[in-house]
Amino acid sequence: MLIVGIAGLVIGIEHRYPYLAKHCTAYQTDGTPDFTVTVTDKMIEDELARAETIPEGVTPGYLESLAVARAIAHRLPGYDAFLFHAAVIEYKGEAIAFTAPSGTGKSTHIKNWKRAFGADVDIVNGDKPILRFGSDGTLTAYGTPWAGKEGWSRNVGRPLKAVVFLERGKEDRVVPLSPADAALPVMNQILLESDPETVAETLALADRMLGTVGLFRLACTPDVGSALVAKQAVFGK
Amino acid sequence: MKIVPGFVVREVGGKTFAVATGALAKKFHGMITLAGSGKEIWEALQEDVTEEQIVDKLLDVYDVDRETAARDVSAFVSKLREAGLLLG
Repeated sequence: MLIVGIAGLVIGIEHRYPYLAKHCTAYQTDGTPDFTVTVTDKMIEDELARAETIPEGVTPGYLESLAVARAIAHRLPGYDAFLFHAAVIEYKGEAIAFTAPSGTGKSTHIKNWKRAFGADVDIVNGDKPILRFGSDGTLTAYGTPWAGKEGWSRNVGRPLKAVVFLERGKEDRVVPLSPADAALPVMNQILLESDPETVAETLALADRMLGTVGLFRLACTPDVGSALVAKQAVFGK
Repeated sequence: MKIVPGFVVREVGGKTFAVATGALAKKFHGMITLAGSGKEIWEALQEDVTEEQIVDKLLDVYDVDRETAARDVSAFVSKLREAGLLLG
């Protein structure tokens, strides 16, 4: 059994293909798992059926890795945590999550933060971070092995300061959102396909998140100035 | 008529959402925002009711004429029916 440490949890993974162990190298740990997920052939077939686009040369090992991410996501709400589809960076130790439909220029925007602020900026996760509430009510964004095509992944956790919903714009413009405005866009980035109890727990966590972090819509250009505008909105001057 | 079983209704960010769960989530993707009289209509549909009975319930809560309430109920119910979310 593979044992990984993600988001402060020890997770056991019963798997079949070597891809997964390699994929999770930076997260391998030992200890007694908080919970264990077991991959079945059916789960791997379901991932293939679900894929909108199947990357060239897709392997069973890759599909197994997606199945494991999904299986873990189903268990997280029991630990005040959930998988959030977003790219997360840190700026001076605080995390910002960016969400956008694919092709909007999320990667470009993040590269602009790096260009504008250099060593003050680092990646946390490029695609599927885990957000988890601590016992003190802090919401932390954690890196996971599931990091998207850029492979942006670090095994770290940083307090989440804000969620920024990106869209393309002719000029860079930020609008703060109320929890009501952000509710649907937030829920669209969370896996909600589960049993009634897990869905109810997940929705309660989404509600808490909306009351905890800053919420912004950013219309942005591909220029470096977009990062300056976003940073000022999130952190002030 | 009655709403199909499997929805969880919760407030998120001050808005009310109905989200399909379990087996229903495999057939019905997405979620429904319940606003205004939609909440009462949804509540009424937890039990087997007629459109008339839902209209009666709305008239208990809202200061509107019967015709307006009936129009609201009819519009909401036909959307649910089109989506295959009503039994009976």
